[in-house]
Amino acid sequence: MKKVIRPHAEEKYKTELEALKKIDVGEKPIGWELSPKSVVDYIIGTELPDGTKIEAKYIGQRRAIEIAVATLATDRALLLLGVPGTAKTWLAENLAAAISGHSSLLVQGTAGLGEEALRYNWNYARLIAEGPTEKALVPSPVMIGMQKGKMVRVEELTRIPSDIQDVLITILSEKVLSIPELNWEIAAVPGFNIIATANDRDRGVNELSSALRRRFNTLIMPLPEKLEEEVKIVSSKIESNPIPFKAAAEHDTLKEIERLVTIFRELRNGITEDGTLKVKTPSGTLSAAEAISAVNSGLTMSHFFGDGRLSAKYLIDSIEGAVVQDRIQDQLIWNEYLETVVKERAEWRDLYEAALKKT
Amino acid sequence: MVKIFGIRHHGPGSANSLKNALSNWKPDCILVEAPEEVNQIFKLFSLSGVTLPVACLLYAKNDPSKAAYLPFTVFSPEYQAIVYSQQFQVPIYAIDLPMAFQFAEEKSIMAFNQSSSTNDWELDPLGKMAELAGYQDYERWWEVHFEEEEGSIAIFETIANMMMVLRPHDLKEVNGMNIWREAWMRKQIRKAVKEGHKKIAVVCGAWHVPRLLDYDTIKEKEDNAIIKGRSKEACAACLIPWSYEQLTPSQGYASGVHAPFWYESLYFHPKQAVVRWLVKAARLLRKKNLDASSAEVVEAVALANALAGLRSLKIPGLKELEDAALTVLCQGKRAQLDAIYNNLLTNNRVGKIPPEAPQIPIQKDFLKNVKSLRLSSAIKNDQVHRKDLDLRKPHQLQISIFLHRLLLLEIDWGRKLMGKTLAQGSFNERWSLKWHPRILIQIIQSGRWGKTIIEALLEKVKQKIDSAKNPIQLAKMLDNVIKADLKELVQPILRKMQQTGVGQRDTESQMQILNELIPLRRYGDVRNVDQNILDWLIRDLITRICLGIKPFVFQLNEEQSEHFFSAIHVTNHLMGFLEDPEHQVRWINALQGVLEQKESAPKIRGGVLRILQDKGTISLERAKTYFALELSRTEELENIALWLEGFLYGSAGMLLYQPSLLGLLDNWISALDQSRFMEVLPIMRRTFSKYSRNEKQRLLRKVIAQTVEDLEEVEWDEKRLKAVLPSIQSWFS
Repeated sequence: MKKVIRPHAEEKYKTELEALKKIDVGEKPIGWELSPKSVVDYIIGTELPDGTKIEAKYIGQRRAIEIAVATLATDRALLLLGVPGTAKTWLAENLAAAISGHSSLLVQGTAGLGEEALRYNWNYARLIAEGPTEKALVPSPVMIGMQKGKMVRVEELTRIPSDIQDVLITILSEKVLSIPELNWEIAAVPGFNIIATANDRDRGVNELSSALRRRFNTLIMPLPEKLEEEVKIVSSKIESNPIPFKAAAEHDTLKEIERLVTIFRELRNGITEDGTLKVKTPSGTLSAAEAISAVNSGLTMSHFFGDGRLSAKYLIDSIEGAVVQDRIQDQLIWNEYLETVVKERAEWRDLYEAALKKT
Repeated sequence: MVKIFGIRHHGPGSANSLKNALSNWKPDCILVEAPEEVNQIFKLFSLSGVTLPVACLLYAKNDPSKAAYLPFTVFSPEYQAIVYSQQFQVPIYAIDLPMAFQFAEEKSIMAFNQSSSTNDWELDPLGKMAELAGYQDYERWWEVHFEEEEGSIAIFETIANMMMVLRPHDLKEVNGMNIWREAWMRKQIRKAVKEGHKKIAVVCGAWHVPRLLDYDTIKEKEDNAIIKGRSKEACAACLIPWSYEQLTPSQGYASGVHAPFWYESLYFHPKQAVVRWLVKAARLLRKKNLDASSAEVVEAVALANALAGLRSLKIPGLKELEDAALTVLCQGKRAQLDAIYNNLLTNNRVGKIPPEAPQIPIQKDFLKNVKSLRLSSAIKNDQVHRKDLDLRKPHQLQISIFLHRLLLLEIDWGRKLMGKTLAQGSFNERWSLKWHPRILIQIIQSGRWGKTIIEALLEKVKQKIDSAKNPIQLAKMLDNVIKADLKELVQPILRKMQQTGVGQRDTESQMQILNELIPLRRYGDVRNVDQNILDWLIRDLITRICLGIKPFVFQLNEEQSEHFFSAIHVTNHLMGFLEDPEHQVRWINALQGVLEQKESAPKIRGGVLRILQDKGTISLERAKTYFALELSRTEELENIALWLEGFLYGSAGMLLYQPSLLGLLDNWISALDQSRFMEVLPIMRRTFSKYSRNEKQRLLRKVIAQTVEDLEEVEWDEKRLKAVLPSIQSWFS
């Protein structure tokens, strides 16, 4: 198989899914590849009786995943809501992979999305030659999912214009998609459902109409509650990175990750971890996802230009890149943080000096 | 024949099964695990007008601070046993160790938890077993495992067998109290057998079952040996109203149930409880004007069922219901669920006891007071009652005195409202009264200090004065003490304030104390307030404050300054009530010192200049200099804003009626050049936005009038003036 940068979840975790399927004795909803309980196990991670280790795909509350999986087993659709970088897309992809066996039925929501992306399109050459026929029809991922009984993902639902969003109402309530040109309709088979994600940080998005909203069960994706949890998320993602950093990771990378996550959390929450000092909050999101990419970029730079170790020098570069989004405001906030927090921590001396050298 | 029914306290499943078992087996005598003193109150349950939940309050006669309560509600198996005994005229006895023994051991208040243990297995063995089976909601485990069993008596045999496994004979007992209690209970069972009852039903917590079954193998002598030699303390019992809220563990009741209303639904409608609970949630949401349709309830039920399946439960429990309600009905928004959550758990249910039930002395005294003050309607329900009092009328003054006394006793029935419309120190008071069963307990527990409200109050306040260490605390107490008509306590408090070292406090605390003390002088004509001590304290405080204020403002940060700014204004206002001119001079000198303190907060400096200006103790020329200095071009805009805010604090009245003040401001603005004016404009706007619309219009008129006057002295180019005059006139008309 050809090597790709980022394989689909069902490819990447193929052995895990197969092992789970082998021992799964739970009752499966029609059209599902796994029983709901095994889906939860796949997401949360566990060790199977035969020794196969199921990696944790989502680190956080089991309760939230149970609600997500149970929702998909009823006839309501699932809406994952949260600020950027809370693993919404990642969770959606893995849910689809575990439930339907593949995660590629995807509609990416954009402001310019047309109705046909959710319904169907035409092969115009054929349409002109033959008139409206079944063969001239180009189905959308949603339509394919309905026909085959699979999970369909809709990314960034709130970016889709409201009138286009509402196409989903009939699909979700009546479970049919009518094709008036052919006097025909597609009725969804069991196993079909929609997993949508939306981001509640951006303004100027298209709020869901209440009619559509009530077809969805909403799961609010939290930011990691504790420092340890977030460090675990970031470091597990670094370790599963395909670029070979193994040697570097052996060094006290974990310690560096902890520092970085601490900085991100403090700036994000506006208060130091020990709760004694107020800190100004920069404009960027600074979620776990940003932390992961900051560590990755630090490691990459170190790998190519340094000794491969995630030292203060590279760490400070990548942190600053993530924190300072707005040249003036954020730079001020970052400098103030350096002076009031980083400087005061004796064991962070190297970070402070690295930052000073830059300026 | 003796049958032992092991139950779970406040378990609806247990209650239902017990009810059926009793009517099947038809016992001729019922023994219940409850302290012996409860025997006195069994008969009260049959009074008409008793509304559940209620609690049996047991307290030491000589020291009501030692008290214990046993709540009963419809889903308490013990209550079902009482109902059965009354319905079929069967004798019922409370067989647990008398509280009198336990009170003799205890030193202070404690909550009776049917077991004094902290071990989970002893406290709730059935709940623990459910937990092992994966059920967080114990009652659902009961439903799944016992509902289908053949015959309700068989259920209790199964439970007895399970408990035998959990508590084998060779188990070393660590909890001494349990040994005593079980020995006592065995004695009572033997007694009942001896009295010739043929079918004896013993209702007790499941944990005790194996040890009570030993009643015929252990000899009476052995049990006597365990009890022997223990002392007793006289104990009384009464029935008091209770509430579902107090039944929850968050209210400090360890045997409590987390969701009484859910349990009530389980008791009355075991098969429909899920639907009923979610329907209730939807209805509560609608009351809060949040959307929750019936269709969504249907989907919430489906999700709860799916979650139960996922968690390997046969039927959904409370946790699944909560998840379903949160996800479907509240769109994942925790705040929405929180808004209805308490109501959903407790349905705000509150019990009632008819007045015929016996009462303890302080409770009687309280009710007598309430009746004579004609406040009875306010304790009939838990609605909020508003009371507007005019203290010039003797009856209303009495109400005020009574409510202040309750405040001092920390009985939180009445809350004094501070309204803007009510000037402090006037003869009006506004109270909000809200009754709650908890208040009755507070009253009964106040009985530790005396038999009547006034007796308890004097004792309590005396103790409080003795133990007080902080003069601020004492100063705050003074006012309430005088309002509660306890003048004999004023002198002891003042003396104690002298002792606790007013002088060692920082300037702000001293000002706080002073602010409490000065208003008290208005009670001066009342004989019992010792004017001399009060005046001495006031003089002492003023001297210290005036010396300390200048260095004090220097060390304040922004937030503290804000606080201190208001304190200065209050003190300044109150100073006006003191006749001694010497105080005034001191105070003014001290404030002038603050003005010179350049490192202090701008808002404070602005405020102080204004105070001095108002008092006319600073020359116009000097004020002008300060104005120019503080608002100079090099000063940061933020500081200017703060300074102006301080200077223009309060109403616009002073600006309107003091031409010099307005003149100062006007001069400064006129002298600004255009670019600086543009910079300052938003700040001025912010400062003036605090004035009312009316005030602003009057100010505008005044400024215009002033300007027109000035303009008359200027030589005009008539032609050009005519060209612009109409438009200018139209702006101001």
